[in-house]
Amino acid sequence: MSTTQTPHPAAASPAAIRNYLNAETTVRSWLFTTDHKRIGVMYLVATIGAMMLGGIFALLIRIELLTPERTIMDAMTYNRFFTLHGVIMVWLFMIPAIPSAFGNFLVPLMIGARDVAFPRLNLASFYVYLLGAAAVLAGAMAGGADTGWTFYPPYSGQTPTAVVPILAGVFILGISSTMTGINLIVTTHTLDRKSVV
Amino acid sequence: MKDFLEALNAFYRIALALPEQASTIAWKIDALHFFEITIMFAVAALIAVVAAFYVIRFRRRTGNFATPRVTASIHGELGLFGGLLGLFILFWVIGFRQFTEMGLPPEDALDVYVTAKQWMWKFSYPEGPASVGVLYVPAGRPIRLNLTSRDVIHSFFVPEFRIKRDAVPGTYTSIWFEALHPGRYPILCTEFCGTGHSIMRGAVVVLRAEEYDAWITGTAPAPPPRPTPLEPAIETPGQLEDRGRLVEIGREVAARHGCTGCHTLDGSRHIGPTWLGLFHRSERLENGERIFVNEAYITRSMMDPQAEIVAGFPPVMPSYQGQITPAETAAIIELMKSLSQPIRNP
Repeated sequence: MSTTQTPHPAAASPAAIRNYLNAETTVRSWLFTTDHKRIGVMYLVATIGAMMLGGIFALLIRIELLTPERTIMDAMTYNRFFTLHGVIMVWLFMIPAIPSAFGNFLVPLMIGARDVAFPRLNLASFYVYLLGAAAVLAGAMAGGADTGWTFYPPYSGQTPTAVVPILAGVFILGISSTMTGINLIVTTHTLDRKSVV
Repeated sequence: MKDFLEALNAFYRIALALPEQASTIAWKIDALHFFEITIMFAVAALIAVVAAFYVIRFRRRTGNFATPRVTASIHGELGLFGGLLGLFILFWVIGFRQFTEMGLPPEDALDVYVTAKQWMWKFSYPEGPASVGVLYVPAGRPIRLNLTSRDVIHSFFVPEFRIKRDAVPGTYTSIWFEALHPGRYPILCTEFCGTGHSIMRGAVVVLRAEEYDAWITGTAPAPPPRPTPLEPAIETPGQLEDRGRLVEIGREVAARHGCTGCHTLDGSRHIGPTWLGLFHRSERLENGERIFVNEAYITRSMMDPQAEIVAGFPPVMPSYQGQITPAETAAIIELMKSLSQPIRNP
């Protein structure tokens, strides 16, 4: 091993190098970005926020379960809470976290591409995610559903709770995930540096 | 060897906090579970040990960045792949045999029809009697349950028998079991069905063969039910002044139609307003109006419950229109009257 080493580029202060975090720092540059890393970071912030919200519901459920009879809420409220916990955790956190947060950030890096195949579709998918999340949260404000996050019929068709806005939100979130999915599939098929001449 | 296996079974059952094995299929289902969980624990421990070993043995030492390119031998790969595949196929074979056994009741199985309804279990027998909440069966004979639901999806679950089957509206599903010895085992609902899902309890009362024959032929009454802590308690008569037969009929009707699943008779707060002191009370409704609880209001509440909801209670009561006779509504009203009267000295 040599005893003298040429200065490694990374030995310079990381903050001094132009990267995706400091290239532009305005709010506009983040909200209108088409950079896959920035979109990945925005998704990560959103999904972690969703995880916190779902976690709050989980804590409230656990407090209620401290005693066999009613502790802090009645049966109907408890049903709404575990439904919201499930809906938020599955559709606002778990499903977007892997492909949309980590996938958008890492897949182009892993295949040596500059960005994903459809960068503007990528940004659109993030705003569709926010729209879907807004619909779900509107349903939560309207009292939420009490069906469980699986929404099994016929009970989900009979209950008078706010099933429709939450399911509409889930459907919109599905559109967002599909947009991300198409993006990543086309990216891996066409931008992989080893197979594209 | 048999003693050793029985001791092993008892050890696992207690270690995993499982209830007793009270049916013929229970120990088999447990055995597959114990076998699988042991292998999984062993494999997980092996992986942890090997991973720890590799992390230490092949940690990066200073100046050594490159690792040799390692490819596994074809025999190693095939052995690992074949071993794991064989293991999972073994799990599947045992499980599938149990699955078919649970799906094919013996020829001489007794039929019972189970109707699940928010939030109660109803049972009816081909020989005639019907029962709410309590399933009477003889010990030592196979019983086939034909399950359906009146409203939403429920699921019939008896932990001690290790049996579970969904009760689906619009169709019949079926499960069979054979109870080993007399006893009383709780029934739980295990498919979310609304506000009363967690209190939708029942009991399987396993009788000796003679007791069961006496009950089903009507020779002897059913053994008096002693509710376990899990079942919703029904008020026993004798504490309140006896106003004649209609009040007793009212209690039976209230139990049969599941009223006591939501309305208590002793003043404790539950899903619906308690009936203690309800009659001739001035109640405040959700819309702020006040109504006087009389025979008309009670009957309207049974026929169109969503129209006048008492403030502070959820709008979950189903309509009994067409399901309850005028005589039964009268009996329930008499029961409510008896719960509002002061106790007179005889």
